[in-house]
Amino acid sequence: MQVRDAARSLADLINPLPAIWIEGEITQAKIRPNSDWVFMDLRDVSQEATLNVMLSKNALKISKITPESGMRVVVHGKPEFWTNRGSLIIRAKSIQTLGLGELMVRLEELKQKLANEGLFSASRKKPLPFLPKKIGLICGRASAAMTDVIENTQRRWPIVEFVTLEVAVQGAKAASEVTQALKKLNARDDIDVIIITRGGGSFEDLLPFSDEALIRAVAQTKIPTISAIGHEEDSPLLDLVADVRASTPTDAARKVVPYFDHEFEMLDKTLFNLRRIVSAAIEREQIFLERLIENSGLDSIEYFLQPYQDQLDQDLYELRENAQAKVQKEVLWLAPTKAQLKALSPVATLERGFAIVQLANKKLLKKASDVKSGDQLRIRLAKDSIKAKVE
Amino acid sequence: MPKEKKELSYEQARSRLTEITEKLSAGNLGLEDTLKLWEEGEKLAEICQKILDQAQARLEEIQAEYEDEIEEN
Repeated sequence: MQVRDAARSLADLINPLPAIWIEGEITQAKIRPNSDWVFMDLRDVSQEATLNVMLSKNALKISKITPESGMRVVVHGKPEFWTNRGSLIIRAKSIQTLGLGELMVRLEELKQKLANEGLFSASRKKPLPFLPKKIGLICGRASAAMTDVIENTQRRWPIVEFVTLEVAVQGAKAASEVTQALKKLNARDDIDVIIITRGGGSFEDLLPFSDEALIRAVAQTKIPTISAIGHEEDSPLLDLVADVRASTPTDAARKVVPYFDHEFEMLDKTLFNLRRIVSAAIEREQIFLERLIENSGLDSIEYFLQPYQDQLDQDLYELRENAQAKVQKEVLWLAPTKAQLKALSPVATLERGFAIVQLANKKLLKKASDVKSGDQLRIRLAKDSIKAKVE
Repeated sequence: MPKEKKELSYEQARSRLTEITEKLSAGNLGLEDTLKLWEEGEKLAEICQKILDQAQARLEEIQAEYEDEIEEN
C-alpha cells in the first residue's frame, strides 16, 4: 500500500467521525493576519496529550474571545486527517472559555471520586516527624513562598536542612512538574518530610494543585507531606490528600518544626512536673509504708523486745544485788575479823604502857648483850613506833 | 612473802587472814610470832579492805551510770 492509499484510508476512517466537545488548555495560539484561520495547540491540563485545533476567524469573532496561552477552553469540532501533511487536526466550529462554575463542578466531581476511593481519609494520614533533619521543599522558582518557608522554619529550628526543588507552580506544566519533583524526593532516603508550597493566586492559578495525577502521587508518597498552598481560604485538593494542611507557607514552617525556645520552656516545665510527680510518688509511698507498718504492728517491735529487756534488767539488777550482797557480806566479815585481830594482838598490852623493842632484823630484843653501840632499834608503842640507836 | 602480797587475790588474802586469826586465837604462840602474824594480818586486812572498797566503789559507779541512762531515756 502506497502512502497515498494508507493516508486516504486513515482519512476515510477519521473524517466521517462526528463532531466532539474537547476541553483543554491553550498552549499556543497562532493568529496570522493574512489567514482566515487560527491554529491552536490544545493540551490536557495534567496529561501529556495535545491536539491541534483550527478555527475560522469568523467563529472566533462570534465567540468574543481572544485565544491566549493558559486559557481553558472547550471547542466543538470534527477531527480531520490531512493526507498531504499526515497530521490530525480538529476543525472547530465554536470555542468557548470554560467557566469558573464548570471548573468548580469538575473539581467537586473529582473531589467526590477521590474521596470515595478513600484518598482523603484520616486513616491514611502519616504523622509528621517531631524533628525533621532534612525537609524536601517543592515551590516556585525564587518564589516568596520558598523564602517564607525556609526563613520561618530556620528561625524556629536553625539546624534544619532543605532540599529545594524549584518548579513551575502555575500554568500547564505546573501539575506535572510538581508531580515529578515529588517523585524525585520520594526516591531519596534522606528526606523526612515534604512541603509543597505556593503563594496565593486566583482559583485557576491554584488548579494544578487539584490535579488528579498529583493528588494520586501524593497519596502514594511514603514521606509525610505538608500542603501549603495560597491563603487560608484556598482549598485545593492537595490540602485534602496531604498528611498535614498548612494555611500558608509561614504556617507550614510552624507545623514542620517545633519552636526552639518553646521546646526548651516545655522541657523545663516537663522536668519540673516530673520532679513534682516523683516527689509526690515518694511521699505517697512513705505514707503507705507508714500505714502498713502501723497496721502490721511492726512499729511495736519494742513490745516484742520488752520482755527480753525486762529480763535483762532483772538479771542486771540481780547481778548487782548479788555483787552488793557479796561485798556486804565480806564487809560484815572483815570488820569483826579486824577487831578480833586487834584483840589478839599485843596492842592491849602496849596500851598499858609496855613497849616492844625490835632489832633491825625485826627480832625482839630480849637482852642487852644482843646489841652493841650504834645498832638501830625500833620501839613499838601502843599508838605508833619510834626509831632509836644504841649508845 | 612481802612481794607476793600485792598479787594476792581477795580469796587468798581472806583465807590467809582467817588462818592467822585462828592461829592467834589459839593463844599458844610466843610474842615474836604473835607480832609477826599480827602485822601480816593487819596488812591482809588492809588488802581485803582495799579490794572491798574498790568493789563497792565500782558497784556504786555502775549504779550511777545506770541511773543516768534511765534519766536520759
